[in-house]
Amino acid sequence: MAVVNYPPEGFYKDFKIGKKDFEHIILWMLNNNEDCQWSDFTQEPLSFTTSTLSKYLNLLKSKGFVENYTRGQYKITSEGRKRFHEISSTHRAEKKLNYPPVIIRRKRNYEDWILWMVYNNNYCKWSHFLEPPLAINQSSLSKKMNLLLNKELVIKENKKYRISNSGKFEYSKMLQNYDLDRQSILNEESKRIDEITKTTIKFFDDYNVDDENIQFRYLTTILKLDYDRVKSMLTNQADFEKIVLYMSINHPDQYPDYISLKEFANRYGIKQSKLEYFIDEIVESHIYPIKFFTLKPSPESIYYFQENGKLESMLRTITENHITKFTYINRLFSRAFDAFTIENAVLEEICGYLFDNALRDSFRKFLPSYINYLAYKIEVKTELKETYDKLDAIIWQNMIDIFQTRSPEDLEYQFMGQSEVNYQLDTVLLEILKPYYKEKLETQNRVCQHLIDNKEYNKALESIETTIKSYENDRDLTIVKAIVLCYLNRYEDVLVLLKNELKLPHDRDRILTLAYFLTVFSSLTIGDFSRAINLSKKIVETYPEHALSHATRGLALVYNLIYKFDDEKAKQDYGLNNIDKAIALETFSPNKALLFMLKSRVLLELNKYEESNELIDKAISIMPNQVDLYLSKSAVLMYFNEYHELLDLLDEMLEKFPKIEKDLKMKKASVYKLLGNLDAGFKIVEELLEKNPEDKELRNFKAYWYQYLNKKDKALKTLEELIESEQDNGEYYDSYGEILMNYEEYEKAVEQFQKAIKLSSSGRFIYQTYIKLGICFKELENYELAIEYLMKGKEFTNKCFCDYELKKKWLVIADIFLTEIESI
Amino acid sequence: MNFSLEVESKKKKLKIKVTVIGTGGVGKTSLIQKFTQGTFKTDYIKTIGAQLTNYKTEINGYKIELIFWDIAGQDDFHFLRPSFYKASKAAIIVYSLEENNLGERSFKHITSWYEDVKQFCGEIPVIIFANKVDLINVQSLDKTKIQNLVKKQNFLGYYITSAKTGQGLDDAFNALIKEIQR
Repeated sequence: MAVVNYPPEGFYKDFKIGKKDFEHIILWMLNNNEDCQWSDFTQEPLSFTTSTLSKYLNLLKSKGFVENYTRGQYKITSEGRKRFHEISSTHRAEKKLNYPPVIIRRKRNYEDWILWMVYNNNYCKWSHFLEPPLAINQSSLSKKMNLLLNKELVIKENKKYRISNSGKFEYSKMLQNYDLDRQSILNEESKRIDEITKTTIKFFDDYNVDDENIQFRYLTTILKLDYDRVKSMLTNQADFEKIVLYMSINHPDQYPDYISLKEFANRYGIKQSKLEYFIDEIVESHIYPIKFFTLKPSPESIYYFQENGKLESMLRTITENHITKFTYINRLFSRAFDAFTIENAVLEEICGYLFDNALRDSFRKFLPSYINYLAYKIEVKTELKETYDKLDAIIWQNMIDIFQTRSPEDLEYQFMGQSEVNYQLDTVLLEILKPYYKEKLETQNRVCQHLIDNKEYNKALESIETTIKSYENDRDLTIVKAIVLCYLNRYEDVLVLLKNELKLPHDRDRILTLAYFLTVFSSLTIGDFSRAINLSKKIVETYPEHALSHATRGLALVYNLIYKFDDEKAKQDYGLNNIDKAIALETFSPNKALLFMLKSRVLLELNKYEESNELIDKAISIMPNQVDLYLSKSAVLMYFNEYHELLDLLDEMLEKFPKIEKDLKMKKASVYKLLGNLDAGFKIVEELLEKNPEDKELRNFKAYWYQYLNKKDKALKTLEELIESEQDNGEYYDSYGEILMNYEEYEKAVEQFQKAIKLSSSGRFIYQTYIKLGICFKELENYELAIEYLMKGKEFTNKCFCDYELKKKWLVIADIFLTEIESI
Repeated sequence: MNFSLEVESKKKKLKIKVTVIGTGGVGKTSLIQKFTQGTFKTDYIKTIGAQLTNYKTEINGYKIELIFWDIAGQDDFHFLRPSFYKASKAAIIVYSLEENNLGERSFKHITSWYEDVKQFCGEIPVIIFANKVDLINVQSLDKTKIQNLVKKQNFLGYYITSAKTGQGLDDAFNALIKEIQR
C-alpha cells in the first residue's frame, strides 16, 4: 500500500475556513499523490466531514480540475494542476516571500535553499519549501530540515521556521560557495552586523560601557560568538553579553586595571558561578571554535586575549620569527635548540612593547605552551606540497618536544591540584578501565590511545575532544576524555563531565560502572570521601556481579585506610573483601594484576611486609612488563628498609626498562646513600653525567651529592653554573638555598628561596620552598614570617599532587617547627 | 661538658631537648613510646620526617620536661640537620643487636651519627642504646665491639635494651636524666 502524502500541519490546521482553502487542500493532496481515495480526506489528519468533501470534490469535478477515474478514486487533471499553482501563488503573494537567486537554486543544495529562505524571510512555513519555485520533495525537505534543526542553524517555533544566530554565520559562509559578487556578500554580512550593533548600543547604554577599547573588543568578540549556542543553558541574553564584557574588560591591554569576578558579578548583576563557568567553557573552546588565551599575573587575576586578535597576531609574528631565526642559525652552526634562549628573545621583544613589562613573569609561564600550540598547528597541517609548508614543518618539527617539558600550562595541575586539598591516587589503577573502552577507541581514534600510552595527555585530550565533535553522543568517548583528565589531575573537571553519565538508566551498566569508578576516583583525590563511599556502595548494590563495582568500592576503602578520611570506617573495613570479590569476578588478567597491586598497598599500610611483597610479586608475574608494578614493589622494599633487595630489584629493572635508566640509577644512588655508602652513590651520579653531560636535572642532583660529601664549594659552584645557564628556573635557586641552609647561611638562603618562589610559583617543589623559607625565618628569629611561610607551605603541600609519604613528611616538618616556635 | 639547663620560670621548670638518632628500623620510636607511654606496637610503623614526644618528670624540686626529637633514620632532610640538632642537651644513638644487615649497618653507622652530633651540638652527653635484645640469644652476645666504641668515643655509656619487653629502658633513660641533671 502506497504511503499517502499529506500537506504540512500548518497548511490545514491554520487555514481560515473558506472555499479557496478546501479547494487548495484537496488540490494539494491530488497534486502530491498519484491518486487519492475518499478515505484519505476523511481520516486523520485532514478529517473532512463527508458533506464538505462531497461538496468540494463535486465543485472541483464540475470545473474539470479533478477526475473520478474509478469509484472512490480521484486524480488531478492538468487544469487542476494549473489551478493548484494559481492558488499557491496567491498565498505566496499574500506573504511576499523572497526566494533564493537562480545562482543558488541552480545547485540543488536544499540546505542552502532553506538557509537562504529563513534568513531572507521573517519566517517560513513548511509549505513554502514544498511549493514552487522551490518545490522540494517531502522526504528531502524533512531530512535537510532536521539536519539544520539539529545543528541549531534553524529554529522551529509554532510551526514557523526562523534563522538562528549560528544560522546567520553559516549563511554568510554559504554565500561564499556561490559566485555572488563581493558587494552582495558584504551586504548580507552588514545586515547581521547591524542587527547585533543595535542590541550592543543598548547594552553599552544600559551598563555605561564608554571605553572605546573595551567597546571595540566587545564588538569583535560578540560578532564571532553567537548567543544561540548557549541559549539552552543561558536563557538570559543579557548575561551572555555580560560574560563577553568581562572578557573584553580583562584584556592584557588594560593592565594593571582589572575587575575581579566577584566585583563584576556584583556590579553588573550576574551570578559569579555562572560567570566563572561560562568563561571557562569559552576559554576551553568547549562552546565556540574560537580560541582564547589566558595570562595569569597572579592567582587572583586572569587576562584574556583572542586568537587572531591584534595582540595574538603580533605575538605570533614575533614568536614565529624567533623560532625561524634560531632554527636557521642553529642549523648553520650545528647547535642544539635551547628553549630558554628562544623564550628570552621573544620576551625581550614583546615586553614593554606589546605588553606591560609587569606581565613579563606571567608571559614567561605562558610562552612555552603558546609555542607548543603554534607548533602543534603546523604539525597537524598534513599537506606538505608547497615549499613554504615544508619549511614550516622543518622549522617547527622539534618544537613540541622541546617546549612540552617546559610548558607550565600543560603542567598546570600536575603539581598543584584544582581543589584546596588534593590526595594522590595511583593513576596506574585507571588502566583497569582500559579493556572496557580500548577496542572501541582503536576504531574511532587509535592515535588517542597511542598518546595515552606515551603519557602525552594534553595531546590526547585535544585528540579525543576532536573525535567527540564527530560522535557527539558516544558515551565511551566521554569516559576516555574523563580518564585523560584524570591523568592531567583535572579531577574537578572529571566530576563535572561525568555528572550526567551517572544519571543514565540502569541498562547502561558498562558505561555506568566506568563512570562510577572514575567519579569515585576523582572524589577521593579531592578528599570527598563521603561521596566516594556512597557512590561505591550504590554501584555494588546495582551491579553486584560486576568486577568493576567491587573494584570501585575497594578503591574507596583502601584510600580511606591510607588517608584516614573517616578514621572509624578505616578501622572497620580496609576494602579487602571487595578487592577479593573483584579479583574473583575479573576476567581480564592484567586487571587482576592491578587489583593484586591494590591489595598489596593495603597490606603495606597494615605493615604486613611479607604479604604485601608476595602480592606485588604475584601482580608482576601476571604483567611482567608493567613498570608501575615494579615501582610499587620498590616502594614496599623502601618502606621496610630492605635496601639490599631494593638494589637487586633496581638492577633487574635496569635490564627490563632501559628507557628509564636515568631515574632508576638516581634511585639506586639514593639507596646507597641510605646504606651510608656515599662513594658508591656518587660514582653512579658521575657515570650518569658522563653519559649525559648536558642533563641539568643530573647536574642539580650532583650538587646535592656534593653536599652529602660535605663539598660545599663544589655544590654551590655546580648550582651557580646551572643558574647562569637558565636564569629563570626557580628550581635551581631552591636547591641553592637548601645547600646554604645546610651550612646555616640562612639570610642568603632566604634570598634564594624568594627568587625561586618568584620564578616558579607553581613549580613541583614550591611547597617545600615555602616550608624551607619558614624554617630559615625561624632560625633568623623572625617568628612572624616563619609562621606565615610555614603555614603557606602547609597550604601548598595540601594542594599539591605528590607522593603521599613525601607530602606527609613535609607536613610533619612544618608542624614540628610551628610547635617549636609556639614553645618559644 | 657544656650542658647548662634552661630555666623556664621561677618555679624551676626545665625544658630539655634530647635528640634520638640511629639507622631506620632500629626501634627509636618504639623505645620512646615504651618509656613515655609504656606501650609497644609489634608492627613496624616508619617515622615520617621526625616526631616530637614530651615526657614530664620531677627531680630534686625541678619540673623537667624532656622533649625527645625522634629523627627518622631514612630522612632525606640532610639540610635540616642543623635545625634538628640545635639546642639539644643530650643525644641517644640507637642501634639494633639483630644479627642481620640492619644490625651490622646500624652499628657501623653509630660513628657517623656521632659525627653529626659533634658537628651541630658540640660536646653533649651521648648514650648508646643497643636495642632489640629480645630478638637475639643474649648468651652469644659479644659486647666487646660496643664497649670499645664507647670507650673510644667517650660516650656516656651503653645500655642493652628492648622496646618490646622494656628491658634496660628505665636504667638507660634514668642514667641520661641523671647526667642532664648534673
